Amino acid sequence: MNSPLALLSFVVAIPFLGVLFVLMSKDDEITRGRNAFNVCVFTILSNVVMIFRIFMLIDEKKTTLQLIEKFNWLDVPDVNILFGVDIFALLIILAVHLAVLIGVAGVRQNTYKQKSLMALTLLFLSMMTGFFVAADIFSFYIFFEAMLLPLFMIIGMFGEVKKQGTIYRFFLYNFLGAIILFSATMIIYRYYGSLTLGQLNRVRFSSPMSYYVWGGIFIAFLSRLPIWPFHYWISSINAGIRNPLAFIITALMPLTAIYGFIRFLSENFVMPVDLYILWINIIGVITILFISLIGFINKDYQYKLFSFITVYYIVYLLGIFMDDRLILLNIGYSLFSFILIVAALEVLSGYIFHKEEDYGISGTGFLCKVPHLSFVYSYITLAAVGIPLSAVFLNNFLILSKLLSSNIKMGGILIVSLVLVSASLLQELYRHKLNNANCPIDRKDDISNPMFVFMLFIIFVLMMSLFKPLWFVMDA
Amino acid sequence: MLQNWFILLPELAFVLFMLSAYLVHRFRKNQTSKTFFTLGKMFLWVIMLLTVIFYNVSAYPQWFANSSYTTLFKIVMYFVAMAWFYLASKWFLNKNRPSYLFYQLGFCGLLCLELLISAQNFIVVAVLIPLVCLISWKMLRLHWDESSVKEVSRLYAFFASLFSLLLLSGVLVLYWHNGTLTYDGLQHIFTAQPKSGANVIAVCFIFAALFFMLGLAPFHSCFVGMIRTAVLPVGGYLTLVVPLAFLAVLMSYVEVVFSGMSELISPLLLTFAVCSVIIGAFSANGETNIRELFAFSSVYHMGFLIFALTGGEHNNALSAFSYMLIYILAMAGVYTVFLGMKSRGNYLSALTSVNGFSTTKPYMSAALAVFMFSLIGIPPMMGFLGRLTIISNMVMDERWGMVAFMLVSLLFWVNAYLKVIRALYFEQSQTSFDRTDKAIYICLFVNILLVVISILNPGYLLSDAEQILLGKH
Repeated sequence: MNSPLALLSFVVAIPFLGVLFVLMSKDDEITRGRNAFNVCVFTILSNVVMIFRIFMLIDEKKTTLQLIEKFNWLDVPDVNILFGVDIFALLIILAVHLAVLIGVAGVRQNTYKQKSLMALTLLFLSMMTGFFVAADIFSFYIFFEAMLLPLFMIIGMFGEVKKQGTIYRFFLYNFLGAIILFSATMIIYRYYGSLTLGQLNRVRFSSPMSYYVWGGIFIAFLSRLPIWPFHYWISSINAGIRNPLAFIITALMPLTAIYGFIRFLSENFVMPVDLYILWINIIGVITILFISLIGFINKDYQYKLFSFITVYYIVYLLGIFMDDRLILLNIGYSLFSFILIVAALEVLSGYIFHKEEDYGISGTGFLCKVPHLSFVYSYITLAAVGIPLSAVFLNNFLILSKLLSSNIKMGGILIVSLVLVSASLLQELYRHKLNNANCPIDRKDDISNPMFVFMLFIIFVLMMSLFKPLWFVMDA
Repeated sequence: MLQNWFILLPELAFVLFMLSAYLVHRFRKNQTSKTFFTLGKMFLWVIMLLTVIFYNVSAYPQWFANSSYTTLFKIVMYFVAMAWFYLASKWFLNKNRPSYLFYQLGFCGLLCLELLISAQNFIVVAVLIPLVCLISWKMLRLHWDESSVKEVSRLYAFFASLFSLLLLSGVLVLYWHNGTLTYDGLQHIFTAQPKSGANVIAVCFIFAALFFMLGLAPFHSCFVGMIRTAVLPVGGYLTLVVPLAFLAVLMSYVEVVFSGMSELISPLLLTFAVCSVIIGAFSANGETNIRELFAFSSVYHMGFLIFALTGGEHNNALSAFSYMLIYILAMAGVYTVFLGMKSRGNYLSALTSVNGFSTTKPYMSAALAVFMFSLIGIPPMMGFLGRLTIISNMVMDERWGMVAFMLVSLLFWVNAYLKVIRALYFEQSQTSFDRTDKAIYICLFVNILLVVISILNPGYLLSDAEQILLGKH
């Protein structure tokens, strides 16, 4: 089905237009970035409305990309920009928008270069949306690389990363991944023309070329995942970021790898792919065991959260390699809740961290006197660890049961890793809940009422997704 | 006869400008830096109009021939020159220095370059290239502190003489061996006859001179030295205007005049391209002077561009042209930002002196970041288009080694730009920057607008150029 109103282009363009409005907004000592913040929130909300409109237009049962939009971009070489979505992509786009909205809400009090932060966030959102609606190999690659630019600027300006060499290496590492994907894309283009993502099953190369092309695609996507032995740069960046929005944006990057694998591997389990998957299974299992252990013994909450995110992303990755349609759909539902949980956890923990810094305390018993914060933080932590409070529970259950049935050793290690990361989050919740008479925190340190209402809305969304993942889509 | 004078009107307009500028300089009392720009602007518009009117007629076709191809390059060159002359007038205004000689030399250089683009005979080339060298040398000495440019100007004079002599020797060998120096005559000879040792030497000498003028490695040290020491208007002129003409000449030699010798020329181009890319990428990483860093960046880009010409296919000219256009647009933006990097009246060039530039000049820093990312070729910046067209041609020809080399070199070179980004955005400001002229913001806005329009619809930029470049064959 073709899009009647080029809605997908609008969804990509609206955040980009938002960037221009943010840049034009007044920013002085009085407004202190408030205008930029308002424009950013308004832009994201407008786009969320557009996304709901698209949900109404697509057929959720169809597995092919819908609402196809094609723009002739360049004649030599023949490059078209092709957009299209299915229910999976649209769910992730919505999740990304809500996660960024949560992040933006988390930095509403920020005054340091707020305008730049909002502009770069919207630019990132535009590129990220473009990536998820890309329907051909060139569009896919363009947005895959384009999102690096705002990401690098956000990390550099707001990440407070002490070692600047790490930022360079992080960028170069991701850039290398993008370049490798570029060369693989060009080779596919050389022999098959500009293929849509649905036509990738046509790609059949001879032995050495096949190893290079698929190897390149795998390396490109793996460069976005903190997977051993290349996890260091990503982990050192993620664990050091104190700005909640910057952290959320960085945490969304592995999502591009997960999505890339889903799009490129569909019906493409040919010879070298099988071999690469075997290796990634082995490396993935080592990585999650390693990272979950470090997360468990590490005292820093950011690292615990990072290890939680990494373990879950790798579980999803291993689930994708099962090549099961039902599992793929469940990954989509689970990812939706997972992204919201990560964003909410980061914003709330960031709030606690800054309060701890203000009072110069360790945070023990922090939640005892702040009921609003205590409720939302507890709910989201419990949802994160897999208690049936969100779609993560049911879908993880399905993914893990499938993994266990196919390889019991691997499934066992995954369960141990998930228990470890869950325990590390619960450790932190327990510490904050522990009764501490000396804690100087009182009711006034609770989260603001608008923030509380917003978090309740997120909890509502998580709960509804438990009962029916696509509850907001009207039945025809 | 009268018809020939009409056809020569663009060239006559150049001469008329020089005469008028001299008279204004001699007799007008209230001169400002803008006086000569205003005069030059009027003449340049007229020259552009006349160039378009007489786009395919030539007064002396055996010496100079106009075509869509030459007109395309000339018009692009005039536009770039006009924009740069405008910005340069701001520099002279700020420094309160006389601009007469700069504009006079600039126009004289433009005349030589436009004749060079139209040239149909190697005698013309052998005369014009030393003249361009002389003008560049004279421009380099437009520094109020002559001692600071003494060493570089001596070095340049030496190398320019050397390469001019090489060019002359090459032309003489060509004539001695083939009995003709016209492009058409030589093209027929090289296509029909097997290549001889004398012709090979002659071609090598001619290309060496061209590579020197383009600042390709290993002949880049003069170019980098000039950019480092010359005043900003001269640095911009040498980076933005001069290479355009020489690229037009080089493309015409590779694609037409010496197309019969592609077996020799392709490896020659490849060697210099590889050298330039390696030296440009590595040297830029070690730089602490922002202008020198971008000079090495020019060396790198010229190398990248020359790569496009090594295939000898039709699309290569188009990809080289589109890359050149994108490069010039981005570099023009970079030099515009240089004009805004000012502290207490001094134009800054040390990398540490622009630390925290984004705090006080957010729009200008953002513009510089856009131009740098464009030069890197990251989508959705326009530079991606250039990278795509060149790499796609290599992939089509299955030149995998070159593709791998180009992509790996990108990684090294990107690191140099990251240093600039760090200085602008991640470091704390220690310098108080001067107020920026509104004209600089306007120019940046226009440049960014062009970049945005071009990336949204590159067809408008390239479709006509494509026809012209393909029609050339």
